[in-house]
Amino acid sequence: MNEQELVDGLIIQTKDAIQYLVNTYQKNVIKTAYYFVSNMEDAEDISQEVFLEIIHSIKRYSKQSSLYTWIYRITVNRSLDHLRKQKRRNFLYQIGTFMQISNEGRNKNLQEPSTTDTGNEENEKRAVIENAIGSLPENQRIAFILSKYDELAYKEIADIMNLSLSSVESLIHRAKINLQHKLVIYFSEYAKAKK
Amino acid sequence: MQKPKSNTDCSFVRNNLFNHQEKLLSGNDLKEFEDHLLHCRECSLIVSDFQSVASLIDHKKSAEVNDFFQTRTLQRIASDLDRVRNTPGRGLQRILQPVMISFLFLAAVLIGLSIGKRFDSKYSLNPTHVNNIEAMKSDLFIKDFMDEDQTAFNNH
Repeated sequence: MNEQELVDGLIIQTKDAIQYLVNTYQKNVIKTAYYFVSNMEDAEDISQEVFLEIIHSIKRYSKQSSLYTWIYRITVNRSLDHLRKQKRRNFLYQIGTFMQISNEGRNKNLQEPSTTDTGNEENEKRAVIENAIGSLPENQRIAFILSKYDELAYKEIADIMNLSLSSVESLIHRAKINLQHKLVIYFSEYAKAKK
Repeated sequence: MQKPKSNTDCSFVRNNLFNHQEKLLSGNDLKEFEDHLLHCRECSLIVSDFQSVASLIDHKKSAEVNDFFQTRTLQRIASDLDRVRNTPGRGLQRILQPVMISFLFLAAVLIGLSIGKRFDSKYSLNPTHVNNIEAMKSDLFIKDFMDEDQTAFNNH
Protein backbone atom coordinates (compact mmCIF):
# COMPACT_ATOMS: atom_id res chain seq x y z
CA MET A 1 0.00 0.00 0.00
CA ASN A 2 1.56 3.34 -1.00
CA GLU A 3 1.12 6.59 0.90
CA GLN A 4 -1.69 7.88 -1.32
CA GLU A 5 -3.65 4.63 -1.02
CA LEU A 6 -3.16 4.70 2.74
CA VAL A 7 -4.42 8.28 3.01
CA ASP A 8 -7.44 7.51 0.79
CA GLY A 9 -8.19 4.39 2.85
CA LEU A 10 -7.96 6.33 6.09
CA ILE A 11 -10.33 9.01 4.81
CA ILE A 12 -13.04 6.41 4.24
CA GLN A 13 -11.84 4.51 7.33
CA THR A 14 -11.26 1.09 5.78
CA LYS A 15 -10.13 -1.68 8.10
CA ASP A 16 -7.13 -2.51 5.90
CA ALA A 17 -5.84 1.06 5.90
CA ILE A 18 -6.20 1.40 9.68
CA GLN A 19 -4.46 -1.92 10.23
CA TYR A 20 -1.66 -0.95 7.85
CA LEU A 21 -1.24 2.42 9.56
CA VAL A 22 -0.91 0.92 13.04
CA ASN A 23 1.28 -1.93 11.88
CA THR A 24 3.67 0.31 9.95
CA TYR A 25 4.05 3.20 12.36
CA GLN A 26 3.46 1.73 15.83
CA LYS A 27 7.10 1.13 16.63
CA ASN A 28 8.27 4.63 15.67
CA VAL A 29 5.33 6.32 17.38
CA ILE A 30 5.67 4.40 20.66
CA LYS A 31 9.42 4.81 20.79
CA THR A 32 9.33 8.54 20.09
CA ALA A 33 6.66 9.04 22.76
CA TYR A 34 8.73 6.92 25.14
CA TYR A 35 11.88 8.99 24.51
CA PHE A 36 9.92 12.06 25.59
CA VAL A 37 7.95 10.74 28.55
CA SER A 38 10.32 7.95 29.74
CA ASN A 39 7.45 5.66 30.71
CA MET A 40 6.30 2.84 28.46
CA GLU A 41 2.69 2.75 29.69
CA ASP A 42 2.27 6.48 29.13
CA ALA A 43 3.98 6.12 25.75
CA GLU A 44 1.45 3.45 24.73
CA ASP A 45 -1.48 5.62 25.81
CA ILE A 46 -0.06 8.57 23.89
CA SER A 47 0.45 6.35 20.83
CA GLN A 48 -3.19 5.24 20.86
CA GLU A 49 -4.24 8.90 21.04
CA VAL A 50 -1.90 9.64 18.14
CA PHE A 51 -3.49 6.96 15.93
CA LEU A 52 -6.98 8.17 16.81
CA GLU A 53 -5.98 11.73 15.97
CA ILE A 54 -4.51 10.60 12.65
CA ILE A 55 -7.75 8.82 11.71
CA HIS A 56 -10.00 11.68 12.78
CA SER A 57 -7.95 14.45 11.22
CA ILE A 58 -6.58 12.76 8.10
CA LYS A 59 -8.76 15.07 5.99
CA ARG A 60 -6.70 17.98 7.29
CA TYR A 61 -3.42 16.37 6.18
CA SER A 62 -2.23 18.84 3.59
CA LYS A 63 0.41 16.67 1.88
CA GLN A 64 2.92 19.52 2.10
CA SER A 65 5.10 17.15 4.10
CA SER A 66 5.28 13.37 4.00
CA LEU A 67 2.78 11.35 6.03
CA TYR A 68 5.71 10.08 8.08
CA THR A 69 6.72 13.64 9.03
CA TRP A 70 3.09 14.55 9.83
CA ILE A 71 2.76 11.52 12.12
CA TYR A 72 6.02 12.40 13.87
CA ARG A 73 4.75 15.95 14.39
CA ILE A 74 1.52 14.69 15.98
CA THR A 75 3.49 12.31 18.20
CA VAL A 76 5.86 15.04 19.41
CA ASN A 77 2.95 17.42 20.10
CA ARG A 78 0.97 14.77 21.97
CA SER A 79 4.02 13.82 24.04
CA LEU A 80 4.70 17.45 24.93
CA ASP A 81 1.01 17.93 25.86
CA HIS A 82 1.32 14.94 28.14
CA LEU A 83 4.43 16.39 29.79
CA ARG A 84 2.72 19.76 30.26
CA LYS A 85 -0.27 18.10 31.93
CA GLN A 86 2.11 16.11 34.08
CA LYS A 87 3.94 19.29 35.04
CA ARG A 88 0.64 20.89 36.09
CA ARG A 89 -0.02 17.94 38.35
CA ASN A 90 3.56 18.07 39.51
CA PHE A 91 2.90 19.31 43.00
CA LEU A 92 0.48 16.53 43.88
CA TYR A 93 2.58 14.03 41.99
CA GLN A 94 5.68 14.99 43.97
CA ILE A 95 3.85 14.55 47.24
CA GLY A 96 2.59 11.15 46.04
CA THR A 97 6.03 10.08 44.88
CA PHE A 98 7.62 11.27 48.08
CA MET A 99 5.17 9.23 50.13
CA GLN A 100 5.59 6.22 47.83
CA ILE A 101 9.38 6.43 48.05
CA SER A 102 9.19 6.74 51.83
CA ASN A 103 7.02 3.63 51.98
CA GLU A 104 9.12 1.71 49.46
CA GLY A 105 12.28 2.77 51.27
CA ARG A 106 10.82 1.59 54.54
CA ASN A 107 9.80 -1.72 52.97
CA LYS A 108 13.16 -2.16 51.27
CA ASN A 109 14.95 -1.56 54.54
CA LEU A 110 12.88 -4.31 56.03
CA GLN A 111 12.98 -6.76 53.14
CA GLU A 112 16.13 -6.10 51.10
CA PRO A 113 18.94 -4.86 53.27
CA SER A 114 21.62 -5.94 50.77
CA THR A 115 20.73 -3.71 47.77
CA THR A 116 23.82 -3.20 45.63
CA ASP A 117 25.34 0.24 45.22
CA THR A 118 25.88 -0.34 41.49
CA GLY A 119 22.15 -0.49 40.82
CA ASN A 120 21.56 2.70 42.79
CA GLU A 121 24.43 4.42 41.01
CA GLU A 122 23.00 3.43 37.64
CA ASN A 123 19.52 4.63 38.58
CA GLU A 124 20.91 7.86 39.94
CA LYS A 125 22.86 8.51 36.74
CA ARG A 126 19.78 7.70 34.68
CA ALA A 127 17.70 10.12 36.73
CA VAL A 128 20.34 12.84 36.38
CA ILE A 129 20.49 12.40 32.61
CA GLU A 130 16.69 12.34 32.29
CA ASN A 131 16.42 15.47 34.42
CA ALA A 132 19.15 17.23 32.47
CA ILE A 133 17.40 16.45 29.17
CA GLY A 134 14.02 17.38 30.67
CA SER A 135 15.32 20.73 31.84
CA LEU A 136 16.43 21.78 28.34
CA PRO A 137 14.31 24.44 26.60
CA GLU A 138 11.49 22.76 24.65
CA ASN A 139 12.88 23.27 21.14
CA GLN A 140 16.35 22.09 22.14
CA ARG A 141 14.85 19.04 23.83
CA ILE A 142 12.77 18.08 20.77
CA ALA A 143 15.73 18.50 18.42
CA PHE A 144 18.09 16.60 20.73
CA ILE A 145 15.70 13.67 21.27
CA LEU A 146 14.85 13.36 17.58
CA SER A 147 18.53 13.46 16.69
CA LYS A 148 20.08 11.33 19.46
CA TYR A 149 17.32 8.84 20.20
CA ASP A 150 15.29 8.65 16.99
CA GLU A 151 18.48 9.10 14.95
CA LEU A 152 16.68 11.29 12.42
CA ALA A 153 18.63 13.36 9.94
CA TYR A 154 18.78 17.12 10.52
CA LYS A 155 16.64 17.63 7.41
CA GLU A 156 13.88 15.37 8.80
CA ILE A 157 14.02 17.16 12.15
CA ALA A 158 13.77 20.50 10.34
CA ASP A 159 10.64 19.25 8.50
CA ILE A 160 9.03 17.95 11.69
CA MET A 161 9.76 21.12 13.63
CA ASN A 162 8.99 23.46 10.72
CA LEU A 163 12.41 25.08 11.07
CA SER A 164 15.36 25.73 8.80
CA LEU A 165 18.27 23.32 8.72
CA SER A 166 20.61 25.86 10.31
CA SER A 167 18.15 26.45 13.18
CA VAL A 168 18.08 22.74 13.90
CA GLU A 169 21.88 22.54 13.83
CA SER A 170 22.07 25.44 16.23
CA LEU A 171 19.42 23.95 18.54
CA ILE A 172 21.25 20.62 18.75
CA HIS A 173 24.59 22.34 19.29
CA ARG A 174 23.14 24.44 22.14
CA ALA A 175 21.38 21.41 23.61
CA LYS A 176 24.69 19.54 23.75
CA ILE A 177 26.50 22.47 25.38
CA ASN A 178 23.73 22.83 27.99
CA LEU A 179 23.68 19.12 28.71
CA GLN A 180 27.47 18.95 28.92
CA HIS A 181 27.43 21.83 31.39
CA LYS A 182 24.71 20.28 33.57
CA LEU A 183 26.28 16.82 33.54
CA VAL A 184 29.82 18.04 34.20
CA ILE A 185 28.60 19.79 37.36
CA TYR A 186 27.05 16.53 38.56
CA PHE A 187 29.90 14.26 37.45
CA SER A 188 32.62 16.50 38.91
CA GLU A 189 30.85 16.50 42.30
CA TYR A 190 30.65 12.76 41.93
CA ALA A 191 34.34 12.49 40.95
CA LYS A 192 35.36 14.62 43.97
CA ALA A 193 33.37 12.33 46.23
CA LYS A 194 35.10 9.29 44.71
CA LYS A 195 38.62 10.72 45.29
CA MET B 1 58.57 8.22 36.91
CA GLN B 2 55.90 10.86 36.80
CA LYS B 3 54.35 11.58 33.47
CA PRO B 4 54.82 15.14 32.16
CA LYS B 5 51.76 17.29 32.81
CA SER B 6 49.66 18.19 29.81
CA ASN B 7 49.12 21.88 29.18
CA THR B 8 45.54 21.30 28.14
CA ASP B 9 43.04 22.99 30.36
CA CYS B 10 40.36 20.91 32.11
CA SER B 11 37.75 23.11 30.44
CA PHE B 12 38.92 21.91 27.00
CA VAL B 13 38.08 18.34 28.02
CA ARG B 14 34.82 19.30 29.72
CA ASN B 15 33.64 21.35 26.72
CA ASN B 16 34.33 18.54 24.27
CA LEU B 17 32.70 15.57 25.94
CA PHE B 18 30.07 15.12 23.21
CA ASN B 19 32.63 15.73 20.45
CA HIS B 20 34.90 13.09 21.97
CA GLN B 21 32.05 10.64 22.43
CA GLU B 22 30.83 11.16 18.86
CA LYS B 23 34.43 10.85 17.58
CA LEU B 24 34.33 14.35 16.14
CA LEU B 25 37.68 15.47 17.53
CA SER B 26 40.46 15.89 14.99
CA GLY B 27 43.87 14.21 15.39
CA ASN B 28 45.59 17.01 17.31
CA ASP B 29 42.62 17.81 19.55
CA LEU B 30 42.06 14.15 20.24
CA LYS B 31 45.70 13.74 21.28
CA GLU B 32 45.46 16.75 23.63
CA PHE B 33 42.20 15.44 25.03
CA GLU B 34 43.61 12.00 25.74
CA ASP B 35 46.96 13.30 27.03
CA HIS B 36 45.10 15.41 29.57
CA LEU B 37 43.22 12.37 30.82
CA LEU B 38 46.51 10.62 31.58
CA HIS B 39 47.39 13.05 34.35
CA CYS B 40 44.00 14.49 35.42
CA ARG B 41 42.12 11.93 37.47
CA GLU B 42 39.05 14.12 37.92
CA CYS B 43 38.63 14.69 34.17
CA SER B 44 39.28 11.04 33.54
CA LEU B 45 36.45 10.11 35.95
CA ILE B 46 34.14 12.66 34.33
CA VAL B 47 34.85 11.26 30.86
CA SER B 48 34.25 7.71 32.01
CA ASP B 49 30.97 8.76 33.69
CA PHE B 50 30.00 10.61 30.54
CA GLN B 51 30.37 7.36 28.60
CA SER B 52 27.43 6.11 30.65
CA VAL B 53 25.26 8.77 28.97
CA ALA B 54 25.74 6.96 25.68
CA SER B 55 25.07 3.57 27.23
CA LEU B 56 21.92 4.84 28.95
CA ILE B 57 20.69 6.34 25.68
CA ASP B 58 21.35 3.00 23.98
CA HIS B 59 19.56 1.22 26.80
CA LYS B 60 16.52 3.45 26.33
CA LYS B 61 16.60 2.87 22.58
CA SER B 62 16.48 -0.86 23.11
CA ALA B 63 13.09 -0.68 24.87
CA GLU B 64 10.74 -3.28 23.44
CA VAL B 65 7.26 -2.53 22.19
CA ASN B 66 4.49 -4.59 23.80
CA ASP B 67 3.34 -7.41 21.46
CA PHE B 68 -0.32 -6.76 22.29
CA PHE B 69 -0.17 -3.07 21.54
CA GLN B 70 -1.40 -3.45 17.97
CA THR B 71 -4.40 -5.57 19.01
CA ARG B 72 -5.35 -3.20 21.81
CA THR B 73 -4.98 -0.17 19.59
CA LEU B 74 -7.08 -1.66 16.80
CA GLN B 75 -9.78 -2.56 19.32
CA ARG B 76 -9.76 0.97 20.74
CA ILE B 77 -9.95 2.51 17.27
CA ALA B 78 -12.84 0.21 16.32
CA SER B 79 -14.81 1.04 19.46
CA ASP B 80 -14.11 4.75 19.01
CA LEU B 81 -15.32 4.67 15.40
CA ASP B 82 -18.41 2.67 16.44
CA ARG B 83 -19.20 5.20 19.13
CA VAL B 84 -18.96 8.05 16.62
CA ARG B 85 -21.12 6.20 14.06
CA ASN B 86 -23.74 5.17 16.63
CA THR B 87 -24.24 8.66 17.94
CA PRO B 88 -26.55 10.22 15.34
CA GLY B 89 -26.68 13.98 15.10
CA ARG B 90 -23.58 14.34 17.23
CA GLY B 91 -22.74 17.59 15.48
CA LEU B 92 -26.27 18.89 15.99
CA GLN B 93 -26.12 17.87 19.63
CA ARG B 94 -23.01 19.97 20.07
CA ILE B 95 -24.92 23.04 18.89
CA LEU B 96 -28.28 22.28 20.52
CA GLN B 97 -26.92 21.53 23.97
CA PRO B 98 -25.50 25.01 24.68
CA VAL B 99 -28.55 26.62 23.02
CA MET B 100 -30.90 24.70 25.34
CA ILE B 101 -28.82 25.55 28.41
CA SER B 102 -28.81 29.24 27.44
CA PHE B 103 -32.57 29.14 26.84
CA LEU B 104 -33.26 27.56 30.24
CA PHE B 105 -31.00 30.08 31.95
CA LEU B 106 -32.76 32.97 30.21
CA ALA B 107 -36.18 31.55 31.08
CA ALA B 108 -35.15 31.21 34.75
CA VAL B 109 -33.97 34.84 34.81
CA LEU B 110 -37.22 36.07 33.19
CA ILE B 111 -39.42 34.08 35.59
CA GLY B 112 -37.43 35.47 38.51
CA LEU B 113 -37.84 39.02 37.22
CA SER B 114 -41.60 38.64 36.69
CA ILE B 115 -42.13 37.21 40.21
CA GLY B 116 -40.05 40.00 41.64
CA LYS B 117 -42.05 42.59 39.74
CA ARG B 118 -45.38 41.17 40.94
CA PHE B 119 -44.15 41.13 44.51
CA ASP B 120 -42.84 44.66 44.15
CA SER B 121 -46.15 46.06 42.80
CA LYS B 122 -48.26 44.20 45.37
CA TYR B 123 -46.32 45.22 48.44
CA SER B 124 -44.96 48.58 47.36
CA LEU B 125 -44.71 51.14 50.22
CA ASN B 126 -45.97 53.91 47.97
CA PRO B 127 -48.12 56.11 50.30
CA THR B 128 -50.82 56.48 47.66
CA HIS B 129 -51.54 52.75 47.74
CA VAL B 130 -52.94 52.41 51.23
CA ASN B 131 -54.79 49.31 50.19
CA ASN B 132 -51.52 47.52 49.77
CA ILE B 133 -50.83 47.83 53.48
CA GLU B 134 -54.22 46.34 54.17
CA ALA B 135 -53.43 43.57 51.77
CA MET B 136 -50.15 42.94 53.52
CA LYS B 137 -51.89 42.86 56.89
CA SER B 138 -54.41 40.36 55.67
CA ASP B 139 -51.72 38.28 53.98
CA LEU B 140 -49.68 38.14 57.15
CA PHE B 141 -52.75 37.57 59.38
CA ILE B 142 -51.72 40.36 61.71
CA LYS B 143 -54.83 42.49 61.35
CA ASP B 144 -56.56 41.04 64.42
CA PHE B 145 -53.45 41.26 66.54
CA MET B 146 -53.00 44.87 65.55
CA ASP B 147 -56.65 45.58 66.47
CA GLU B 148 -56.12 43.86 69.80
CA ASP B 149 -53.05 45.99 70.41
CA GLN B 150 -54.97 49.10 69.49
CA THR B 151 -57.78 48.16 71.99
CA ALA B 152 -55.25 47.47 74.69
CA PHE B 153 -53.59 50.82 74.01
CA ASN B 154 -56.91 52.69 74.15
CA ASN B 155 -57.81 51.00 77.48
CA HIS B 156 -54.59 52.29 79.01
